[in-house]
Amino acid sequence: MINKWIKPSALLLASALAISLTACGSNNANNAVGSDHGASESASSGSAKGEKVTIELAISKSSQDYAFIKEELLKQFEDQTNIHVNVQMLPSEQVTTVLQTKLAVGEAPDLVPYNLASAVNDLNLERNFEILDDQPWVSRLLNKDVLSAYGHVYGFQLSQDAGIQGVVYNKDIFKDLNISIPKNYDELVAAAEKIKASGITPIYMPFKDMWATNIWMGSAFADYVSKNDPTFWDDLNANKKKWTDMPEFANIIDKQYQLYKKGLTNSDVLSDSYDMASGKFINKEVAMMFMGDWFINDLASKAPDLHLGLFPIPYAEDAKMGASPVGGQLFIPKKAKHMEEAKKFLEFLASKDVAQKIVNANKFVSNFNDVTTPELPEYKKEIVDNYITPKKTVVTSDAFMLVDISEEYRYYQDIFAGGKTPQQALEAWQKKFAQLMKDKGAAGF
Amino acid sequence: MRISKNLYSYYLIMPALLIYVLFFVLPTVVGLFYSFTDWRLDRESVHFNGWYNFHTIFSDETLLKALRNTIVFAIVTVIGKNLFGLVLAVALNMKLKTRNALRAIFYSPSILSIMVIGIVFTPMLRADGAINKLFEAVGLGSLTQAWLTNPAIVIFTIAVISIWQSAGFQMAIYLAGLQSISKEYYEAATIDGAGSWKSFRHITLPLLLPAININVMLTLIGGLKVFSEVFVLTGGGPGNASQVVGTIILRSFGEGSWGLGTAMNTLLFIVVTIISIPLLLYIRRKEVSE
Amino acid sequence: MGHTQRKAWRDYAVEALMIAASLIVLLPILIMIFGSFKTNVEVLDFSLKLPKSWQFDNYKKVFDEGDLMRAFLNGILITGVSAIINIVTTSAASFVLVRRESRLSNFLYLFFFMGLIAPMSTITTIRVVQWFGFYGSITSVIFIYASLNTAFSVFLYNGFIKSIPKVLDEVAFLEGAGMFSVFFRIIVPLIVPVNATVAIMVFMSVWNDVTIPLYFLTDSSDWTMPLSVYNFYGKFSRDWNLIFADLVMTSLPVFILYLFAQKYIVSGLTAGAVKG
Repeated sequence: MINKWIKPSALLLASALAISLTACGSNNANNAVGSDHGASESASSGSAKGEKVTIELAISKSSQDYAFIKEELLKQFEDQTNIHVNVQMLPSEQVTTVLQTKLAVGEAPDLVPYNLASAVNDLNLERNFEILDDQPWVSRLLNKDVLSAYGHVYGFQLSQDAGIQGVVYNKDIFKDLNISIPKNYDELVAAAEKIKASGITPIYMPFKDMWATNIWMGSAFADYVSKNDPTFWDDLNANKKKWTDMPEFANIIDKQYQLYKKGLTNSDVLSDSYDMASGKFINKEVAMMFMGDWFINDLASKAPDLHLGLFPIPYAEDAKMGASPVGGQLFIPKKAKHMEEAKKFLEFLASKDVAQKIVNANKFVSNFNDVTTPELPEYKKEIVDNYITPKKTVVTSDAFMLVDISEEYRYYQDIFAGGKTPQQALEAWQKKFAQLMKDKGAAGF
Repeated sequence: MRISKNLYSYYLIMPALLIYVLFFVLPTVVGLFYSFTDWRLDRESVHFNGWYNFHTIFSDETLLKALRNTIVFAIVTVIGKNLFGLVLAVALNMKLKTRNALRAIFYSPSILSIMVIGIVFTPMLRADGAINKLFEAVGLGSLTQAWLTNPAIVIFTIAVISIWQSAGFQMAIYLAGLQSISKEYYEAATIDGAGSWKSFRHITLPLLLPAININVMLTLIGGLKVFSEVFVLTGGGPGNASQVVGTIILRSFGEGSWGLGTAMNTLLFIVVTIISIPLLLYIRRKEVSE
Repeated sequence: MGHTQRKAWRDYAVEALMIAASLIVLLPILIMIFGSFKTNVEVLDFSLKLPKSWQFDNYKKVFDEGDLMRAFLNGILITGVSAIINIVTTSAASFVLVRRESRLSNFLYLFFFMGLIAPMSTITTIRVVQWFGFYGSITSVIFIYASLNTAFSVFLYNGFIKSIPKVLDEVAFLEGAGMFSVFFRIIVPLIVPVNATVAIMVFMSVWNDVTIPLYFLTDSSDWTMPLSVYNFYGKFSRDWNLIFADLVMTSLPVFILYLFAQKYIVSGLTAGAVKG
């Protein structure tokens, strides 16, 4: 009886799929000018020549602007190879859980964009992902390290540019009001007050997205630790030191909170989200935000007249710019159903012409020896000249973490909701941190 | 002559039982087993770790808060959904011209996806959102609130939205109950000179008991298992202010602690069972005795 | 005379009150509907103002770009088949459970009822479905939905079948009919209203669900309509007009079904749930 119901369902589905496939297929027939490595190779992986293969790429909805899923790009790939890349948008709040679950049961998508460091922590990179050392494009890499873990290349990315974090600011507003870049906390407050007096919201805090609460701390903690106790992160991960052992941390947290208390931010920080930020900056409603330079890059094409820049989090004198490891690498799960096709997609992205086009469009610092870095936009040049070249950057604290830190963000959020003092937030996080490290099986906990 | 009960063969139960056991009971039992293990994504093997997971749960202040929120949510929604459901049902059981349209309108939120609720209500509940503007417009400016970001009230806000969504469903069950009450009772009462309130109190309410039981049961179980409303409106925030057991379970999975997550699921199962099974048995006994 | 007049006035008052109260329910829905016809700038005030000009294009855009036809068909397939499986299996099971009145049948009833209480454990369900060898398929999702709704359906059928006099079966048995023919000839025709109720309940919960397709369908071309909303939320994160248009289209099939089946919901619930 049960079988009777399944069969018609399968039939119905099959015919529905068939219709949609032929619809797409007919589009393609004209473009079947086989390129160098296309249909013939995909035949070897089990699909008959000319038959379309679909590979799945799962990405968080908050990464919708990801450089490798632009429509024209996927279309070009499909025309050349007859491989269709299906982009699954996962709800951002659930990306990690969904991917973890699917990896654990061996039913992962064929391509996963993720950050290398988080992939090591969240997704068990070594066990779940394919080593790409033998891929043809690896020999052309300028900086293998940014794609490697455990001595092997796991990820693919055209850019070798780290995400730089600090204060994103509107240069025109600063110029109009005759404000120079704040070099310490008092100057930041003074600048913000001047901006506020002109009727513009000085600082935009998109703290509905809890990760955004941590940009200030991520850079400031790292800067403070690098100057005062360089082995702190190692000690922390070995349980020799605790989060609460750094009295300055609570002050740093409090400095961000005080900006809100002084009325120098948007009023409803816990309701405002990151995806609203670009609108706020384009409309010149806000002047600053603690964020990474990826935000400036995203906005560059949307609003070319907007002049944004970045300066270090001015929690103290002479702070360095925060640098996060290169993000947005593509990974291929070991159990991908279409391993060959997925690898072919990486080859396609790495092919000289395609790579050059993507690198140009996104102003990447190229990681391939035969792909030239385009002239960098002004903001980027400034960052390179003023911070990267003189080595005034410091790797953010997040990069040292071995466990999921979203609970830390929650405690920071709680400060703004009035539920915790900075000191209480650190104490709560230390407790949770120890718990997570212990459950993970880290030595010393 | 009595018919042998054996004529009703248990074979007819088999298909339902099979589907239920294979796809629901089995996973639950497997979950029970994993509750006592250190199951993690980043570990090759799974080991028993006794009561460790449960010990962890009870030393976690966030979980205790989540438990409290869950119970508050359940109580508020049980009362709200049943009160409004009953009032709507009584009113829409009267001979009103627009009765059918009104019934459809009040029922309609319960057919909406929870995604709709999340997306439509989030902007309305902002400090500068439509709800506060409405309050100001009618001179109730003092009632304005940061509905979803004030930790003291956020769980109540979510509960009210949940009531908004499903009171219409409870209304449908109460309407069903009202319609099964014979008119003769009321006619007799009218002859006796009983007023509306008296006949409601002495006829409607007692005869509505089965519907009340079912509604309380369904809303209670649903309230204790709450997840989606919280997830789409606040994700448990700000901070952990609106976490409930359902969202905490997801958090554990996100942290890679799957053994712990399944242990919380088991705990939730136990809590709901302890609260609702006695109620169910009570209802069944009453029904038998009637 | 005076009495009926007073009653009429009371009815008017109640009606007016109810119409006013219905606004509380309607307004948020209207914000969504109006919003779906606005431009992406105009929609940002999330207000009840009518659109300055009605952007019907929003719907076309969402329909094409969200691949809503496919999502719609997936939803119909998954929802329809799981509802049918659920109706057939649970009505048969309830029939025996009610008629047996034995210790075992009482126990089984409670056993099924536990399904209302126990929270679903997603991750172990994935494990189990994988053991059976069809994780990732539409079939697995159909069975999961059928099993998730078993408890509530058994509960509804139980109440209703109890109210069908046993004499009816007894006569048929005496005439020499077998159990199957008693079930199909006597019971099935009588439980049509509950079938409608169960169908709508299952349809509503399955149609609107987001979690199970997300975790259990590996191929996103199998996804259902509510997930297409997520797709949009991503692609046009600030284009609330398109998000609203997508939400309206996702809600529409259930709403239409509800309008057709409205009378059954109350009568089915009367029979199934509240008569006991």
